[in-house]
Amino acid sequence: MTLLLAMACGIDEEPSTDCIQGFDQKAMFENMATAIILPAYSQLKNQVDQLSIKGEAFTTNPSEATLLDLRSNFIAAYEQWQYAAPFEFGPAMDVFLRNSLNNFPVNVGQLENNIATGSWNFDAPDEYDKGLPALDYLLYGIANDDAEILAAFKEAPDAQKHRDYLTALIADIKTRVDKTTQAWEAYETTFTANTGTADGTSLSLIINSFNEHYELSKREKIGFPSGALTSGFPNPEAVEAYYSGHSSILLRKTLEASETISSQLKNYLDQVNAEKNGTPLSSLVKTQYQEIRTLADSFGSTSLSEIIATDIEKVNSLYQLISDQVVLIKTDLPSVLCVSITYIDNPSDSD
Amino acid sequence: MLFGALRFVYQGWIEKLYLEPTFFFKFYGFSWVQPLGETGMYFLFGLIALSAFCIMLGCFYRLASICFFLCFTYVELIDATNYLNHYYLVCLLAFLMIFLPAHRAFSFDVWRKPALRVDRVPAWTINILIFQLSLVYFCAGLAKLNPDWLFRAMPLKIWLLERSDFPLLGYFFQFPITAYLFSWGGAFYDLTIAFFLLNKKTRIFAYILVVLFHLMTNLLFNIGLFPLIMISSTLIFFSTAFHEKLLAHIGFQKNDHNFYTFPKWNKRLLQVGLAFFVFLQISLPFRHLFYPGDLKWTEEAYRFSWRVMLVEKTGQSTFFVKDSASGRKSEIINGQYLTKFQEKQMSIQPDFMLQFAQYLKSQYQKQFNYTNPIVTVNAHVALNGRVSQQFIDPMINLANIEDGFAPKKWILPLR
Repeated sequence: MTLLLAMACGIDEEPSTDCIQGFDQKAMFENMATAIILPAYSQLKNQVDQLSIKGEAFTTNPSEATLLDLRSNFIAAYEQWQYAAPFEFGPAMDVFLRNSLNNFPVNVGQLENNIATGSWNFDAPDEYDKGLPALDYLLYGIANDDAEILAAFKEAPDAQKHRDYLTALIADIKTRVDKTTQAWEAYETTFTANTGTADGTSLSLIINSFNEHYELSKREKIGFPSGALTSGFPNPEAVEAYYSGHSSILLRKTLEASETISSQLKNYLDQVNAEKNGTPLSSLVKTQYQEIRTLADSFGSTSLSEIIATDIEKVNSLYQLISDQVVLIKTDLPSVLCVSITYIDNPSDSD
Repeated sequence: MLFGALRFVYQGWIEKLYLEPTFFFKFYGFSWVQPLGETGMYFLFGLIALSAFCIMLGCFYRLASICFFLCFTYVELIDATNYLNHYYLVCLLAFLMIFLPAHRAFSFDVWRKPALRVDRVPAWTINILIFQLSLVYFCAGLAKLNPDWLFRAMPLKIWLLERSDFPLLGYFFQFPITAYLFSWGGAFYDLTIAFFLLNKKTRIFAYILVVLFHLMTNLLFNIGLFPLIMISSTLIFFSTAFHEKLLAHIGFQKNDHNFYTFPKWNKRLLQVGLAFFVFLQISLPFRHLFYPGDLKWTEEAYRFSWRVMLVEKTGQSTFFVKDSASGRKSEIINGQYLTKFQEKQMSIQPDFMLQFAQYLKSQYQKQFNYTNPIVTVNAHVALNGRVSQQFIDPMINLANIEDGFAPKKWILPLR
């Protein structure tokens, strides 16, 4: 036994970088909270507060001016949402923020039925009749042109019903965003103090939610619309913000938010000497994001649905670049930081 | 085991593991084993619980032990995703118990039919159990003698770090030295404990160690009933006198000496059967020698070999199905066909990937009229804290590969 101990000690003298301890997780979490998460929520809250004001202005006095005003605020809120979306744990999880705000593509049949019957349930997380996609439809897609859209809220027979639904949608968004933002005030301390690598620690929450959101975005924003997941038959109407045609810009915001989170983990990765084929893992991740960004930037403000129709190869290349990144951030990154991916869960015992 | 069956019901695992999935991974040669639907599955678990209870009381023992073995093994064969070494151990012990006269004393059957009572049994009935348990420990120990376990303290290092909230000891888990001590200590324990248990002088200390070791692993890791099984079954190492003294304490008196003898006509059969069982058990854990590559990576010949707690693996596998006729290609969302747990297990086990690929082939033929679907996979696996590597040859068409015992050449080697 003494011999074994001696051998074990001898081995330990080699500097081992596996699952290194001593990295200041707390400082990293504090920085994440103050530099990224809290600003993302507070700016989202500002936009949603504005949305609520502009919504009321429009419903009390539907005019071209109030409609345009509401629309531009809606776009700003939708853009800001992309920065808050990756943090679906803790307070956001408690109110199903992601499902409530951004289930798309919107289920138009169900939405029209809600309007006609005047009853709905926004608490069901798996329904596609609410949140920003529903607003996108009401403000841009409910009729063929702007004059008709305005009429739908102003003088059409069911104008009151449309106005009521619009108000209810915005109110639901506001309630959930307010709750999340407020809960983070108290949760911040919990978050920064919850160090370690086990399930439920902040590192595990961040890595898991960031990856889950990345994969979800890949699938919903590009995979389904482009046809990559449906035998090559494209579904351009399934893109995010289909009616306002804002999908490319929203996609870029999402990618930017994801890149920012990954860059927060850079020091941690470098401290465990994470390398792949001789290159630091953190640089590989960064380079991949740069390539993705370069291609995505070339889309300009042309909507994804349009690019899918005119230049599908370009969308497929982007999808490929985004897919390649999954290996680095979902398998390599958690493995070297000794965190397990838990959104693929384990219901049973192990041995 | 009664407790085990009830635990499954209570945890909702019957739904989760046997009713929710639409596709099940199979053990090679057992693809005919299917789940029985909700009523059927609950009935099956009911039978397991009932027969376990009967075995415990020694009540209609022979019937109960056959029933328990068949039902339990059937459940385990439904979905290979849920394979655990200790379930396999339960199957083996249950199989052996069918042939053992374990109801011939201190049992309901003896009370019912006193003529059954015996106090002495042939040595092999005890020795075969001792052999089986010793083999489990020894093979588990041998498997730990690999560079990851010994020189990187992996995967224990990862798992101990996750438990740094553990009372008292948790503080020490952050130091690599602790992981090395646990790794080396664990390997030493597994390799030697059977010998210490066999030796009369060291037996009692060895058993105390067994209890402590398994209590510790029970508290540290998510390993279900395994510690309980080992703590209770290693009691078989103790002498008859010890057990009788214990039983006398709780009011069971031993009787005149009746010797149990097996009927003559099947003695020969028994000898051959025993020899075959022992041969199989010794050779199965070493069959990996016929396969190239690191078996922690390929997982060929991994099961049924008492390789426990050796790997922490994460993987991701993206499948593609292509229609040979039109050239149309679709990426697969695994979650549309598999539960999360199945997906997780599949992503690290090549034979599961093969089964899934063939399932996709049939689905795409049926649902989307693909002709000769070509199924490929882009799979990456990270082993024991390393960065990931490509796991499967991404060009290989899995749809046309037959599973079998031959080495799988399409698994890319660990570098």
